[in-house]
Amino acid sequence: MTDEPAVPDDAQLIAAIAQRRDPDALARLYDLYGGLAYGLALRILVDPGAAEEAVQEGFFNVWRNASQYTADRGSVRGWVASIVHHQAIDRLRRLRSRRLDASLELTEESGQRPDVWGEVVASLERQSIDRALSALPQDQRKTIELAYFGGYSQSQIADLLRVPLGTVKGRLRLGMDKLRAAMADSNLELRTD
Amino acid sequence: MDCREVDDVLAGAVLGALNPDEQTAVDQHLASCDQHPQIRGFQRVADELAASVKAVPPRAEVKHKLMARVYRDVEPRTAKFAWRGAWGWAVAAVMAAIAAGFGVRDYVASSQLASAPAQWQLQPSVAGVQTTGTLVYLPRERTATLTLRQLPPLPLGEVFEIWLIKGGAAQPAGVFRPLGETTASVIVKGQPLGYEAVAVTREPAPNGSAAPTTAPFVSGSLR
Repeated sequence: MTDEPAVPDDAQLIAAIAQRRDPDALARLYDLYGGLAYGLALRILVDPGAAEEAVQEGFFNVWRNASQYTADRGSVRGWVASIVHHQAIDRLRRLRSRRLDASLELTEESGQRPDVWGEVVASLERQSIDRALSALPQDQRKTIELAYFGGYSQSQIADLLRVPLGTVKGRLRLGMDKLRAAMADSNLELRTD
Repeated sequence: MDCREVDDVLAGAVLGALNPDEQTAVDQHLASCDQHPQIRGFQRVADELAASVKAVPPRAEVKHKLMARVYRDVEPRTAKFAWRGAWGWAVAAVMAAIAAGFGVRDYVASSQLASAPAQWQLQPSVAGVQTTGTLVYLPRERTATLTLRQLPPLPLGEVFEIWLIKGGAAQPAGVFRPLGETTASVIVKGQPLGYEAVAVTREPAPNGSAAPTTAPFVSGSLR
């Protein structure tokens, strides 16, 4: 009892939730990644109330499904972000489904959204992969942005951009392949803890 | 879906761009097929996209509601740890301090059925300690938050542990370590309504004790 207690790492926190159902571990995880989760949900949903719901539901899913996390999935941070992302996208699509003229909304909204990539690039510059993004052809960048931050399905993107569905799939695959390769080439440290 | 079809939409799946039926088909395929190693790289790209967004602190209420939901999801504790006889003096010290007016009830909702927040103050229980605190209970969320100020230095190998006291027994209600700061705000395990007092002791790290092993240095009445 004389040693300084080690601060648990992310994997230990997840294990504490999965094995002991330890609420303190979830609270600690929330303290670490709640801001990231809310920032992501807010980016996607814009509405603060809806973003808060997505964050709360996402972390409750982390609480309930911690045993499903495995290290080969990647970092705990990324896993948590993916769960909150799913929650946010799900809410966004439900909101859109209530609109009477979805296609009009898609078009208008896509023109009104903030400069997502401008902010993304600004942040990614700090992570040394800015060149990977800026090197992507604009159509690939735009397609990835509509999918990840805009919450559009491949079919919706095809309608929105007036290109064949196969073109959308190809842009996503090529863009993601290039980002993955560029991140590897730049020796970007992909957090796995 | 076969492997070729999955590869065709894998990037979209990782980015959340499939419709529900497609996503289910991809998930089912991946659950029994290890021929798509590129998914790891795609997932890490998506992780970095998420991390590229500027973090924004959510309102404190979000955490309160989340933790209230989590605690409701945890099976109620059945074991109640009796305050050890050797530490009966500690209970007596808390109750004596409260009786002397150190513990001040700010506000308790009448009949304890109202939805308005309840709040209690904590005062030092031992000489030489300046710690004060506030316990706030939100009935609607069934969440209690304890904020402590001017916490004393915490020796290596120890944590602060919160106790809810009733009938001479102390119920452990959470441990924390303020990481070098003298102020802390923590979620209390359990609901304070129905207890007589709240107290904080120093206990062995990392998990604290089942029953107090030191005298409380700050406490307050919950009556």
